[in-house]
Amino acid sequence: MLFNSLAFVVFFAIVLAIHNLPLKWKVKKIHLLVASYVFYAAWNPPFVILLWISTVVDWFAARAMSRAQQLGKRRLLLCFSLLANLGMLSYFKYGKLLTETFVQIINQVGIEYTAPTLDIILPVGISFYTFQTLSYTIDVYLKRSQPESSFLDFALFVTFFPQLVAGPIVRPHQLIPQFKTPRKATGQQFAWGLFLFSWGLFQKSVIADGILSIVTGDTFNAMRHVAVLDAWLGVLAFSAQIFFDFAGYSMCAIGIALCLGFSIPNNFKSPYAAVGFSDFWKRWHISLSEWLRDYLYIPLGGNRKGRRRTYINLMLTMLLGGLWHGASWRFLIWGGVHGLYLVTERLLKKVVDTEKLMARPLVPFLGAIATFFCVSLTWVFFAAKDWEKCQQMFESLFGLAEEPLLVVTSFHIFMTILILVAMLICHWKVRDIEIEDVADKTPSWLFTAFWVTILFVTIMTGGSASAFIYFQF
Amino acid sequence: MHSSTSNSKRQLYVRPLPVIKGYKKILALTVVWTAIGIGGVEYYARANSFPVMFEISPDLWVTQWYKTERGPEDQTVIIGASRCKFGLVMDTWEQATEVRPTMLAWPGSPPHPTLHLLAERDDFRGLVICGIAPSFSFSHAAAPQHLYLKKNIEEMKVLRYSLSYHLGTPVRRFLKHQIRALNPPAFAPAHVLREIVGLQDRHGTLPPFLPIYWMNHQENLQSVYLDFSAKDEELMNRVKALWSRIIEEQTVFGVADMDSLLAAYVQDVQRIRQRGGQVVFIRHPSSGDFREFEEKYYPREKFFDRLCAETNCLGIHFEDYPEIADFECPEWSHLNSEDARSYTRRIIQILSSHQVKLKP
Repeated sequence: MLFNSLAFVVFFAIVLAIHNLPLKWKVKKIHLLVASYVFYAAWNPPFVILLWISTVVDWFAARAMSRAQQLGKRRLLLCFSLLANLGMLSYFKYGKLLTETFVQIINQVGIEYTAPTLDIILPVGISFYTFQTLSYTIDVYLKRSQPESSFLDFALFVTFFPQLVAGPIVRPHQLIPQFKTPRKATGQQFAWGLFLFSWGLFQKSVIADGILSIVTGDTFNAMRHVAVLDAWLGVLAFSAQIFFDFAGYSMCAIGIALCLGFSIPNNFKSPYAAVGFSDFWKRWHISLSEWLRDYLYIPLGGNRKGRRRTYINLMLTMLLGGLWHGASWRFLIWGGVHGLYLVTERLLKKVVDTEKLMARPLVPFLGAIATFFCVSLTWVFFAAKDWEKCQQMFESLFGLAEEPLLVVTSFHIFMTILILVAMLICHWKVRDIEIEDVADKTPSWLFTAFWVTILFVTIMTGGSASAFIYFQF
Repeated sequence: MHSSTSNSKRQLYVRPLPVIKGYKKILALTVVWTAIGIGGVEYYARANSFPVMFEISPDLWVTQWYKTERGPEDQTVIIGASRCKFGLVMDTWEQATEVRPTMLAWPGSPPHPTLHLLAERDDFRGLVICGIAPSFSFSHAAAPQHLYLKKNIEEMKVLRYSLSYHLGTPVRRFLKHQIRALNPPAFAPAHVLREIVGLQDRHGTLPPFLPIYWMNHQENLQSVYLDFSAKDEELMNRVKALWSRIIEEQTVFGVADMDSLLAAYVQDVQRIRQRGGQVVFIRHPSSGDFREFEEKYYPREKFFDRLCAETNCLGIHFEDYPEIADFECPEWSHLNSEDARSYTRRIIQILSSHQVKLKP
């Protein structure tokens, strides 16, 4: 079920009404669990079984792990959990890619082989809930936390609908304790939650879908090379589109949870105001970067095993992080380029006194702009549907195309530039503060006027409930 | 400052909240002002008699497809590109034949994928009216128009089990019919802003800027020109600019591999025919540069005539029938609403004259 659909509005109204009835807390939790399964089943009912498998496997694996005294047995149980979860993820997400790649390699060496066609539907949000539930078993294995005593609370942690299909990826210690005591939003939480939901929807429906997707569609789906201006507009528009799409979704998820009385941490913090790439990854899809740091980069040795090993660990983490985003080698390259950015940044820090440099006027701002452009270039691997289009876009960007097409209309050039400038200024202005701080400083009348405007424009824009870009991950 | 609480690992995480004074009043004012705004748009839409309009989205096509699955085995189905959606008026068809056809035509798309789906359905033994727009029907397989229907077909497989779709469709349908303000893109602020800003389009860019309500897309996939549109020469010129661009792009990809395409058509037509069904190909009228382009790149003897001959199907080419030969498309590709009704009646007469079984 999409947040920007009428079905969700009806669903959420019913969930809110039941959640606020004078019922026992356990009954309310069961209701939330059932509602979460309905939310997921609304897309494709049979895939709820995958959620159940993940829940049951990790519940029993973690409990057995905590009872086991021998390290070998604990490892075996961890392997079982990893195999079950990553096995499902691999089959549904990477099965087709691996088969196609295998066939290509086999054919390259001269063996004629045609694989059976794999018509696999990717279960929505599988990457998100797989990582979320894996963090629970790994934490128990590492004895960072005890296994959960309530199956209901654990099942709700795996399935909680506001962040089930596209994050933020919440850790057990952030969410499970909230299920222990009755939750009901205060009036202020409810109002703020509704505002965050409206703001998230506005970002998604109006900015990302209503304007920017047209520009990226025109440029990335053009029949041949596009003009330099159009190519840059397309790439920069996609940078903004993916931010508003994904940050908008996260904002909706946070707002919906808050309306029910639950707290979910932020997933974005003005990412396009990042100065440098390590800063970018502290601001972009925070819950994923922290997951990769805690469950991949640090276990690989992090920066504790020498410089060369640090670089290898960084590259490995970013390559796998890239592949997490999608079943295409383009995502691997995307991750690889980010890995190279991070390694280069570390190398530069060895030869340049960055603290001194950053103290100079304008340098941080110029650094943020440079970071934005470098990050934007990597989005080409994301937005292009195949390698040919990637090549075509890079050639267009650097004026290497013959007879390029003009595809972006004057109005969309105007709107894209307007949105990009506004986005970059806003990110820079609030780079070190939260949205709540901004609301604090805003007069009530202005806040009301802003809310009315975004709500009205969102409703008027409507749209055909197009899916969030990150659903495919 | 907002009331912040630590989010350190083992403490209960509580989101900070802004200290907004009078949040109840803000919430109430937001609801009231937003409702007033929507009410204003609703009044404007009703005062101007704006019809209910649906966006062309895959779920509309999927809904029509599911309708054919529930329909009788000998139903009538219209497939093809947008010329069918504009040119064949289902109300007129129903009045003349007492049979309501189902529209599965899709803008800018070749008909073969839908024909193939119908051929694969053992329960289908009806009449297929297959519109042939040469530039889409006979385009190279790499041309982007082959992707449009593919997306619908993928959605059709997924939405079958989607509770969201089955719940959302009636809710949306109900609201659309009650509230004219919910008619994007007609009132989409970006669209309105574009009209206000009024920047001159760069030469050749897509899509051309078109005003609010110049045509109406209905939920049954029927498309209709609003009466004023076809008389607005400037508007028609903007649409012609779009076709000029499409014509230019068509030449990039070239034409289909006709041998393999025809083999696929023959196979699918045979399967439908074996079950008692019938397929009729119709080449709807086009005008101006579009017609010239189609005649030059897709000469009928090599494409349309060959398709009809090899599949052994009835083929109706508008040039062959004086009663439909002189229809003019105001923007080169589609008939206006009045002509469409007349055209539909004449098509039915032609089909009857060929003993096509229009009634079960």
